[in-house]
Amino acid sequence: MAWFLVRRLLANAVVVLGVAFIVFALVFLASDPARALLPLDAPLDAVESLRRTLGFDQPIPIQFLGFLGRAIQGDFGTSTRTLEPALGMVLERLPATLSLGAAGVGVSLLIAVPLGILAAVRPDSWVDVVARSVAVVGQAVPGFVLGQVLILLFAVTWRILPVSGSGGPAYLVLPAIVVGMGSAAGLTRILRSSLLDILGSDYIRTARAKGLGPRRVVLGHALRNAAIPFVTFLAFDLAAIMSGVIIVEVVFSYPGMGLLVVQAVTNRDLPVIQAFTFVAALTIVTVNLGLDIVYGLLDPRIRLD
Amino acid sequence: MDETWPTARRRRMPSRPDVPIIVGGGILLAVVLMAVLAPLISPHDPLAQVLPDRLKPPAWLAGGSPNYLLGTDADGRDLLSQIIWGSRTSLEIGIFSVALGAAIGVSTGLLAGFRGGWADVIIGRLADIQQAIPFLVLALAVIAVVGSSILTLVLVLGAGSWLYYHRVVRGEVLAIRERPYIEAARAVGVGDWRILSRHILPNIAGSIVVIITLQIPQVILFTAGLTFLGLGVPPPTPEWGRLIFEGRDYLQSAWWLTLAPAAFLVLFVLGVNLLGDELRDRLDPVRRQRRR
Repeated sequence: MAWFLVRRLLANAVVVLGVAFIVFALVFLASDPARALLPLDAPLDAVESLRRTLGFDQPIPIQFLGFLGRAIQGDFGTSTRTLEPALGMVLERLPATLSLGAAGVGVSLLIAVPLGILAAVRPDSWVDVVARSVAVVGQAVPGFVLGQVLILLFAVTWRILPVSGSGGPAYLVLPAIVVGMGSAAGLTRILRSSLLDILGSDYIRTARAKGLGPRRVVLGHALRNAAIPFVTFLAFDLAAIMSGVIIVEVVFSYPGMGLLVVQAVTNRDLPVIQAFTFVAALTIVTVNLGLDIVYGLLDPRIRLD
Repeated sequence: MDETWPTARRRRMPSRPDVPIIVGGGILLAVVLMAVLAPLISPHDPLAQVLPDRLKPPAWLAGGSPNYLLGTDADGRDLLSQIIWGSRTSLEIGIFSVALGAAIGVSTGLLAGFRGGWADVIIGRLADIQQAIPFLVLALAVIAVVGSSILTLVLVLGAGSWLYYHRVVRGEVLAIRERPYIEAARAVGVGDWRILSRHILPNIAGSIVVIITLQIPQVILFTAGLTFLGLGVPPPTPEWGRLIFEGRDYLQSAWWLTLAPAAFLVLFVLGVNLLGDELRDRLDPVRRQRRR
């Protein structure tokens, strides 16, 4: 298991380095990087001095090393808007975004796991039809539309939940449902189809033949094996969930990183965007590493090889 | 779960009617026609503001007028005309960016799968790196620097969606590469290029068509999402995402401004997804047998 983890860590280090390069390269899309990093009304000598401090006159590899050095110390520059350190602004919002993301994944599991199991155990029953409809419709309704409809129903018409902002758990309910619905569709499908495959396999027949009850067979034997493609899909879906969270934060004016970055894009606040991109990618890499461990626990073959 | 055994029945392929193909294909065709014929079928100029007629409800509601079938927005612009012209913008972006993504992903997939070695390793690492950055984040970052335009959107969406094609094509090429008929072609001296274009590409064309079908609605949804954030298609070009976004302020008083374009978007995505899923099931012999 230790080796397995070391290998995964190394692979992830390469990914993080690549992400850092992309974040670094972003400024070169602008015609004048120094200008892009400063407020629009910055005086010319400020632009000139930043150009020298950040070494835009140096060769690119040297510049990248400089960028990496500063990034390791947590220095992504200061926001062109508020003049605060960009990384601090992003990290301050991280807990709010993480709790929304986690609540969203929770909702998604709450929908996908029971629905996926029931649909696979009774193919073509009404549960299966419901599961498939949820999957098809869930994939077609974008988060911002579902969010609007939920706001209209729960917050405006029935007034049982807050419209937007943040506060207690009540503020998390609608946004988490919207985030969760987005990934529930795919997860339900994956769980259903992998369970269907597994339930037809020989070792399941053996388990039944030796007299195990249906509950033990499905929950004990089949589900554990179906968990592997399920976790793979979840890992693959993380980036999409993060994208969903950003849009949902805007719909509900939920004060997370997503709302911050959308405002930053409108203001062309590049340092904040760079810091955010890096933090978002790092979050995904970290959660992925966590899922890798879950993987190793689920399937001994993976950690042995 | 009661006393009866859970069964995963293996069913024969039922001769079910082609409902998904007809419905999905019909919706796709209708939207394409709507986009192509926009200048002919649009009842009004989508941008013409008739201020006395602001916020008219749809024709079937009290106060609606048959002149504006789906009502008008806060500037007195006809909603139906905006939706019709909006389909044009959405489809344009969808088709061009999917073409770009497919071109990149199919090429890298062929290269990585056929050649293997360093090319495969490097492209694979690039894919991992891109996988770690949420696509929306990357799109936002690029748009923040270069500004938003339809061209930017097509480039960003195209460059962002190559992964899907790459993965599938690489996987299929790896499987096909070792087949006897490829070996036979090689033995009689057929060159790499010809093997790729005459023997491998036709065999994976089906999968590529399926991904393209499934990607078009994804890309259109994504564009709508970006426009919803105020960062996609720049105004005043009508586009479904922006119509939904602009209707937001009138959600209580004029819900049709949000829900009508949203209904078109959802119906379109639903239809094309239905078509794509069905095509995938038909092309995949394993799935065809199981008929999920």
